[in-house]
Amino acid sequence: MRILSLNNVTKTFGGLVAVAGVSCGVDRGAVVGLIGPNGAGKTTVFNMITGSTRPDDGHIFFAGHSIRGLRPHRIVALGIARTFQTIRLFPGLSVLENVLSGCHCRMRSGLVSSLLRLPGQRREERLVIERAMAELEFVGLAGLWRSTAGSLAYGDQRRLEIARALATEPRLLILDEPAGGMNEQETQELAALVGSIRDRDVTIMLIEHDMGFVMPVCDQLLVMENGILIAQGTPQEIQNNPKVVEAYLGLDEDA
Amino acid sequence: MTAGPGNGNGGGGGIWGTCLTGVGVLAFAFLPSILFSLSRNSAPYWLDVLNTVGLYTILALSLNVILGHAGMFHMGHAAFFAIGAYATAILNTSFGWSIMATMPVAALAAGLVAAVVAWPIIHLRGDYLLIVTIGIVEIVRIAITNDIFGLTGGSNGMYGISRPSFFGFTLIKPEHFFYFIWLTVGLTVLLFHWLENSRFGRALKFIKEDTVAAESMGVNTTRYKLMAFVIGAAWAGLAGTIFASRMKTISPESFTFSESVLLFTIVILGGKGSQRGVLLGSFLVMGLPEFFRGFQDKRILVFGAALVVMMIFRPQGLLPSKPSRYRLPGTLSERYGGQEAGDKPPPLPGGDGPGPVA
Amino acid sequence: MYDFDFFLQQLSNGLTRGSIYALIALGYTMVYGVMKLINFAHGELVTLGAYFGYTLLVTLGLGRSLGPPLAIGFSMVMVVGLVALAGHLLERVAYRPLRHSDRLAAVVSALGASIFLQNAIMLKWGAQYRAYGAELLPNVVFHIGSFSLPLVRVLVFAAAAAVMAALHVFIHRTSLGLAIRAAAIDQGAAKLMGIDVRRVIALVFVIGPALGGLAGLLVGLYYGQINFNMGQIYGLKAFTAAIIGGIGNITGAMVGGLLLGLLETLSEGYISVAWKDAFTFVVLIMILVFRPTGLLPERVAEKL
Repeated sequence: MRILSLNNVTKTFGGLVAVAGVSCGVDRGAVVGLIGPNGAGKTTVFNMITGSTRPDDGHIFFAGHSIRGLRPHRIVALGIARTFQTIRLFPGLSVLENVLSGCHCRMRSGLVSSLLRLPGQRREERLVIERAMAELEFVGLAGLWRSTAGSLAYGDQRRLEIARALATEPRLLILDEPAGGMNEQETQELAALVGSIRDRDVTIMLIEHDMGFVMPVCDQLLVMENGILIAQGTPQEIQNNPKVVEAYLGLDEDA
Repeated sequence: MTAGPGNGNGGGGGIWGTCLTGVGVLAFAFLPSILFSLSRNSAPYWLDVLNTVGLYTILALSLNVILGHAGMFHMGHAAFFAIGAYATAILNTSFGWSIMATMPVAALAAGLVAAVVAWPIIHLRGDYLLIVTIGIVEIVRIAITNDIFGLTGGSNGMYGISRPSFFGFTLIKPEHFFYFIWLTVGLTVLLFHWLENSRFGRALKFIKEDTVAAESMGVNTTRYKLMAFVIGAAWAGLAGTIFASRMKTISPESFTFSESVLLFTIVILGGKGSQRGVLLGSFLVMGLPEFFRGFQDKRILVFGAALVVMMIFRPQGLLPSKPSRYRLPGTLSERYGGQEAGDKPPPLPGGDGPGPVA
Repeated sequence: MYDFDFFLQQLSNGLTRGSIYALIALGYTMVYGVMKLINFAHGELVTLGAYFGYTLLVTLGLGRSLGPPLAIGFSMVMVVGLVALAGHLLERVAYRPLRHSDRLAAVVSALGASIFLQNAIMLKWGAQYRAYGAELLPNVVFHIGSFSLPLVRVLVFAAAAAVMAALHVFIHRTSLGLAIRAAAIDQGAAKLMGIDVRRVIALVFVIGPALGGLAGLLVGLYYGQINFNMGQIYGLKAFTAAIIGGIGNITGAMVGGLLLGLLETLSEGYISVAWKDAFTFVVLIMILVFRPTGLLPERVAEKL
């Protein structure tokens, strides 16, 4: 079953074509890697799926909804969450509060119940803290709930971003270079984490350059070059695709 | 057992903080009697000063929601104060409404105008928003100066506004207004403290930290900014009712750009986002100069220089806002530590319960 | 009454007033471009310029002793120098210590400096209006058909235009001007390219106030009277002009100033004197609604 499909999605920035007519689909429950050289338009594709960039043309469907041109918060509510290529936590707030930001869209307390601290609001606060702590336990950061997000180690910040995204209860999780800046061991832990996220019935799309990470983790790979989708298939198929080897893998052999 | 932030007795020294606050509030409640026992002649004057401080505290607390919590550069708060005051004056003098009945309408009118004017501009970047809000306060002042719709009495203002009364008791003397105003301050502190530590308040905090990230985590940033603006404006409208009934006469010069600047200064000087800071700021900006009447015309000169000096030495404000405190429910607290003990306790002095903290 | 001559009157008045706004707006926009700070005390520097001019021309009687052309030329030079010095001191005392602090702290410091200067001027020169005196400039009026153009209008406009042209050349043709433009676009990158950003800041805090001081003197000559709190309204107007033009953009400040001057005189002439300022702000808001960063915005890109 398709959970996400892109249909001829196009984006130009001031005459420069960033993404040119990309069409593809993502199956529910899959881990899909989006790979390609720098400047291929991968992040632009993610930005269009999550609503931070509006496509010039084409359609995007998610779980039966057309999501093209919706504002990011609406898309989050529908079930797509993301992390950022350059970490974009709320560095001055605590680890717990960062995760609570993800819980926001699943909460109901409004202005009046907050202003008057009505019983329903207090109950919800208690539940949501438990919920946020559960996500922190899931990524292994529960012990640091009180720390300031900006003070965490780099790898922990990446994992906190994932916990924050998971708190939105997504059906599709989009990770933009989750292993960027991580060491060998952290990358392996991340691979295990991606596996257990998939076990929660969350579909995953990720951009990553580290082929040692991508190949075993992903079921499906999409390869982009110069804004065009040049290949898709299983990691095996992609590895043996001469076009891909030429465009991307060949250049990055020793990376 | 309660979850949720800022519940009185958490944190080191919290109990002492709460006790001190309690003692402070109690002492404050007896202030009129104390002042009268010190000097019958000057007590009304000092009570008037305290009332002005209180009124500006309410206004600054409402601005704090917009400027401190949501991080929107708003330098036109006097506009909404004016709308509230004039709504009360018009309904009272022309239509014979009682003052307390006009209060919700004043708040509503200010909130409504805020919603309408903020709608198209809420997305503007910091300094652009600043000039637009200055523009709004000027437009409102010019409108009331030019007797808009024949309702506002032009530059002469409006006279003969009644006093508020509760169950037949009419507030006349400064000490009556003292309790009325400072109880409203207490209520404002309490409600906005709750608001700050809720889903709503957190959403504003996320917006202030990083609007793009907040939006990407599912916060409807436009809606929350707008709501913060409307709540702050409505509360300023409510303060307008109190102002109009206290002065009995209002005129455009009470609602100028300079008044807006004063409120802005109180919030930033005290510590934006911090209610204790705003309280202190109000006392310093509105109250302290009264002690220097001897300097006469040099008072304001010194005030200006003092602002520069204070900002250089305390750019974050005198009492900056502290991180919110959360308490984990039951078993989680045993596993990962409550607020009291833990591996990396954030610096959390003193209680921040409601009520004025000197 | 609303004939073509009337229109020309409003137009020439608007251009003159607009050129004064533009001079002041340049100070806001240059400082903002480099420091991202709204110099709320800039209006007071304009007032200071007006009062220095008053002291030189009226109190010391240079207008009578030197004769109009020499007296005005000399006082322009003096005013520009003195206000530039005041601006430099202002930066040293009130802004430099806050360069790396929260932006709102710098705003409040600027407001404090503004309050201080305004009251210092009031204490020094008094709270009442001061007249420049009609005899400073010969009362010459040029007639072109039925349209009459007073000399003072030509003089004010010409002085402002000449200074702005010189500034334009300086900004676009010299290496110091290039440094200012570079620092306005990206301070960090400018620093990496070997530009002394501190010096650039010091420089804009000399040029901006100098232009503002000159504008103050021109206000005195044009309107004949000055007041200690004139800076507040001129500052607000010029700041509006800078925003309309796109704050941080030097050409934008000139365009915005002239536009605002025209907008004001035309709305005074054809709509209502009492409502003209409200009208100005409504137009400002409309411009920002449709162009959120002004007519000629500085270039910025947000990256995700």
